[in-house]
Amino acid sequence: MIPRARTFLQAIIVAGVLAVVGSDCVTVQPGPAAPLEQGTFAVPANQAWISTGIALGLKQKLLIEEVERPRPVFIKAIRWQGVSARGTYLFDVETGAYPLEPDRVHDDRRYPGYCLIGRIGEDGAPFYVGSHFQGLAPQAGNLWLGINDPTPQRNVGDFRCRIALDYPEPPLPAPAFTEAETAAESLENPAAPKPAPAKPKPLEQPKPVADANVVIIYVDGLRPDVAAEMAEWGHMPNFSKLFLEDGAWVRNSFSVTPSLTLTNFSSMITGLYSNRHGVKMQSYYDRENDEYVNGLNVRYYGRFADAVKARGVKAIWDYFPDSFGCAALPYEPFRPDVLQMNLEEWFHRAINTANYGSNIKYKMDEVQTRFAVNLASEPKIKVMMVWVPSNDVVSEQTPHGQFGGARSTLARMDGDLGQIVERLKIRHRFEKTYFILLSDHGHSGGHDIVNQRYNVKREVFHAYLQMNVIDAWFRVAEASVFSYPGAPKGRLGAVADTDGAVGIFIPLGNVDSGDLSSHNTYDQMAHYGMPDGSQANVVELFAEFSSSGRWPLKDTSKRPVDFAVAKVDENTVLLYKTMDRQALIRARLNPDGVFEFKYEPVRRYASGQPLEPINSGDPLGYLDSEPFHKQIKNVPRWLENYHTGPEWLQATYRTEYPGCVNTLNLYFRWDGLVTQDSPVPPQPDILMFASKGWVFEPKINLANQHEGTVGSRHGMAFREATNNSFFVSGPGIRKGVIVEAPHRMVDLLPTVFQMMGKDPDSAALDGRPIREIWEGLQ
Amino acid sequence: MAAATLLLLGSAGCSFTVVRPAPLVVGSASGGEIRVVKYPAYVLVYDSDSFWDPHQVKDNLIGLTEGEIVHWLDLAIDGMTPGPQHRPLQNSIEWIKNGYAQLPDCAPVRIVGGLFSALGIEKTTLIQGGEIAYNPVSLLSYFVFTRVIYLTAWVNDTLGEVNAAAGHLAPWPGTFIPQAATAPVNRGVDWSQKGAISLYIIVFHKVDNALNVTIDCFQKAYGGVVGLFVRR
Repeated sequence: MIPRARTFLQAIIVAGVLAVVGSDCVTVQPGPAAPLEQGTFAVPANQAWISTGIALGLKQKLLIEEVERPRPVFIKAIRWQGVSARGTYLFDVETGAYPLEPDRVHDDRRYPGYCLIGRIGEDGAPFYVGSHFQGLAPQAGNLWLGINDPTPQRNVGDFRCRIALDYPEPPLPAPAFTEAETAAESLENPAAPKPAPAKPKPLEQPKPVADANVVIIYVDGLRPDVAAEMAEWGHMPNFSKLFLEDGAWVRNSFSVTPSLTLTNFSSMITGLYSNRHGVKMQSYYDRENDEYVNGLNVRYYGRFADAVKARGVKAIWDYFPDSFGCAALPYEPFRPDVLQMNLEEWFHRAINTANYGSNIKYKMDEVQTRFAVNLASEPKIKVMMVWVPSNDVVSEQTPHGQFGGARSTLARMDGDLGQIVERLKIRHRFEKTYFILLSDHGHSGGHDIVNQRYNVKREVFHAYLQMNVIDAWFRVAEASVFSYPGAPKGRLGAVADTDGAVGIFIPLGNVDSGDLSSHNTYDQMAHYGMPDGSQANVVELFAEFSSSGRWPLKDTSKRPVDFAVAKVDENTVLLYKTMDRQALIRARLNPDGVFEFKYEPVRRYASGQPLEPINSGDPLGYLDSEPFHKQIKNVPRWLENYHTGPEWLQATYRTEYPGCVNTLNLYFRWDGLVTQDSPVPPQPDILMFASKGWVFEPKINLANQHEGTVGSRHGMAFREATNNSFFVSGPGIRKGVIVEAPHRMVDLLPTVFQMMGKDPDSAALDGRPIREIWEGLQ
Repeated sequence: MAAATLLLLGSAGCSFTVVRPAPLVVGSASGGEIRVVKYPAYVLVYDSDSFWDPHQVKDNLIGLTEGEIVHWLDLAIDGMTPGPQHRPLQNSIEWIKNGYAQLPDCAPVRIVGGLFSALGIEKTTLIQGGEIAYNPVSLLSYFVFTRVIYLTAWVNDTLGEVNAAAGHLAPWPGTFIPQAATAPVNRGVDWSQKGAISLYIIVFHKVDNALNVTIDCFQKAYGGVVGLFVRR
């Protein structure tokens, strides 16, 4: 024992000596200035601003391009803090505000630190230049350049750039040719030329590489526009190379509604909508067992996987029983597919990456990547899935989300991606690997607005229903129920989830029935028993009222609730925005056994009463949407008929509510197994979506007391929250292209099937493989 | 006395916060009267983000049992050298593994690689390292549940390799013992190994849940005691 201790001590002493010797190499001394090349301009990094002496007129063209230099600028003269003009998100040694964003909270910056910045005139507003700027001068005056560093004095080196006052205009891009346009033309435009009858050709199938691997990088909540912007600025080089240069971007990919993690993750791994996998929400009131289940709590980890299995639904791990491997997922079975890649090994690796247990949640991306490197080294694993959740967490906790504090997380995530790719290259697996980078949803807020909170418990449950409420913002120790003072204990409702979508659970028929075992129909809720014995329409209360009374009817943009959805009958749901802005969505099965849906905008829907159709102001805004009219041409005729989910997606993918019609209806259905072990999955009485700029979250947040501000969120039904990232790369995949044809989350699994040489039609999935990504099939 | 001690331990590190929700002013849905709902104060006795929150303390104590010798040495070396972390030992081990993976894919390489992978020497924890140093001759010092499972899998794989190699000497095609005979055994062994790992994880999860519930109960009791002294 003693000799071992002595050896250990010696090692520490040697390391200490090395550290002292090494500390001399920390700083960088300013060297002789490199000569300026013809036409280049030097911006010293140790000065806040320098005038270029170039005078610009208002809206004059300006092009600034960095000239590559072998020696970077060293921030505070530290050797490992080298940057180019693009700056960095990867380190930050400041405490004060950066000159480019003086009004932002320090950790909520959109732009990288230490980048090249510009301004016009001595008092002009600074703008981001980075390594490339092309635009018009916002005002007339002299051009100044500087560094986005509040304390630049100790920096060493300079940025070099070329400045030009003209640049060639890019050619106008040709309008994208999409499947949607051709389909809409042929379906709905009576004036469109009828296509010549052609012999049906067998659909050409992609030819994936033999013995392929598939790596799915699942970046929680990544907005595709943010990824593309950061790549363009040079802060996601691995992503840029793998997916933008060498891969295809499925730009119009959308989540299912609500755009919440567990619901979409379930669709991702099963290829099904929620009417067949049953995961309706992340948290819910379990009507069978009288229990509130919070799926985001580690206590319930594994429960959702068990429930999906009990419903007879196969997930990705079932389709690849001996070759699927994953780091921790939002939920997963405890049984590993490949023996040594199990959750115990994950935990062991997690501790030895995050240093201690309670730090794992803050280091999840690093932890997941470290385990993913192990997965990439294991030849038995052919299909691997790596969930990197930190982007979503940080986006939710910084006011400007992915236009702020989440940027540094994304920049680090790019490094994580690089590690996985590197390991696959070292192990000679890269050439046979398909990479898919996707997110489960988008994120809303942070760009032009900072979200506000709306507490549905106080504002409606307490204000009008005088009801005790249970929800996700609790820990068992206390306040598990947010009580209404004086309400009977049994008068209980529940709110499932938070963010941009909430499920409302209320007792059957009236507030005091105490019966939460089954859900109310819209008709029952339109005549709901209130605490004082009167009746009211509770859907109207939740959609249109706060504690201050009815929200102004004319200006719906300031209302926290976008619209509510309730079940009318087995095949029909009602979308309720206001009394006069409603729509019914009806479903039926066509002779081929495929669901078709009809969207009927109405006002003042009441059971048994004649429908009052409307021509404008429908909840999803299709009637007033130019893209919808452009896509469909003959809107009245389109609305008269039933259409399949893919047809609805193609018709609406350019609107503010892409592909909502089928998923909103399917949400309230259950078309899977019902057995004693697998009852009908719980669904709320009302599903409510937040408007832009709002999230459903109490101001007193019992689960996380330190969350001072609310960041960008998801769950909503509109485009910003539902447009998810979907990038693909690999052998036979088109390079550097953007696929415009619309797709959705359920298309992931069939696409993976195709990559692995499995027949996607063999599993009766709701999704369809994305053909447009393959060379030769576009 | 014991209950009081447990109560104190369970609530160790818990500072409490008294939350006084703002009153709710309600304008009637049908217009007219205004109602004011006054909420009593309540006590929050936990802080999910605090390092000293009992749940976090529990997680960190469990985590301590998983800390590798290699990791702690890396931390020490990185702590003593300026700049970004390099994790020199871990990276060296990975370098060796990557180098080994470059060898041709053949039975001896697979067998040796599989053995090292199953043994997981580099994953030896600090606690286990202490046990081995204290009693290096006892087999128990080297016992890790997952290691036993992986070694059985390695034995199974190695027998398969031997069977395949012996098949070359046999006058019949295929493996020495026909696959029709070995396949059900292999499936059974695989099933048992994965089942054992799953059971281990499930038990771990259940125990963790039970500890969380216990801490919750202590916190609830602590909150109740504190609540007695809070002006509502």
